[in-house]
Amino acid sequence: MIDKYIDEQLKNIGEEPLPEGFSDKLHIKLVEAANENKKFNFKPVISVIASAAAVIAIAFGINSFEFNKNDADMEIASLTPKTINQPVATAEFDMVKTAVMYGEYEVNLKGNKKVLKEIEEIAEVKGDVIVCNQQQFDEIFEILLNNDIELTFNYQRENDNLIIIK
Amino acid sequence: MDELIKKAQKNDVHAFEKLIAEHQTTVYNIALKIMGNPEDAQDAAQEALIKVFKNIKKFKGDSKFSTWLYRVTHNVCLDELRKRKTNISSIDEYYEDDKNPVLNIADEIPTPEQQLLNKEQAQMLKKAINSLPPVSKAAIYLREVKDFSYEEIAKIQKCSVGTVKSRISRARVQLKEIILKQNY
Repeated sequence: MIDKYIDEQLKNIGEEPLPEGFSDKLHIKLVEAANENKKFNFKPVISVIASAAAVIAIAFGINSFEFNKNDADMEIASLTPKTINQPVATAEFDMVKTAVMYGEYEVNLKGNKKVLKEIEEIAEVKGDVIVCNQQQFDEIFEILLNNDIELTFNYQRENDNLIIIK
Repeated sequence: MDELIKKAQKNDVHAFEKLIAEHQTTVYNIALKIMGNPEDAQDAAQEALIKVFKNIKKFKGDSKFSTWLYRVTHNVCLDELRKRKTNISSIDEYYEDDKNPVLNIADEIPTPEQQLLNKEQAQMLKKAINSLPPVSKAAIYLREVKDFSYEEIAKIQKCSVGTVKSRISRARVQLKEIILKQNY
């Protein structure tokens, strides 16, 4: 009897409806999040930016990049420029754009060892770091794009030298 | 994979809203059971849903979307409790309030046997349910109200099936003890 009673009482825990305005509030936040995603998603224009960045990079003497793999499971790899410390806070827009371009990227390579192998064939591998020049850098981008691998831009929040483009 | 998921992965807010429409109430109720009050539950539920939207590209379809969604919700809530450095097993002050809308335990007892349990006993039981650890309350909600399997709850709560069964079983024992104590 007691067990049956408990069963019924537990069923009576019930379910509460969503609070008033829940969906409206959520919608606003979702739109903000979507806009943020768009801002950081360089994929459609990545080739253009990469080319522009290459030109500007050469102009500024930037010619070396590091490609860091996540040594744990290769799920996340990041492209980090050696030149990240270049002061750009007061630079021209193009230079800022370049610096952003050379900011940190997350590349999802999970389950894509083939792609990683292709990248490693292009550039010199030193432990968990692949050092590459501008041309190799562009080739790596090309591979990522050809394999439909998303590049997501992350701000270097801890690096005072980068400007956030709004 | 579901067409709506694919669209949501392409940053389509409308598709995402459609996708979560049937799950929002459950998300909110999981948060409510764990967080213990409607305000915090709403914040946590929204945070979980935004987190899912931002990370939906990472969803590979290895599990059901709903399981993934509820698991994120569960984790967001527990993270929030941890941030507050609250003892997770003791945040139940809200439930002491008789106006608490979460637990609608009926005062009227439908069967003759149950009529033996008077209103005072029902109140005791209500308090007993309220005093259960948040994670157990969430497990009970998913099991008793949503009819989820133990396996599904284990995936959501990221624990073994045995742990889920044990949580629910302990809760029942606790409730039974209170009722027996009341009767004898």
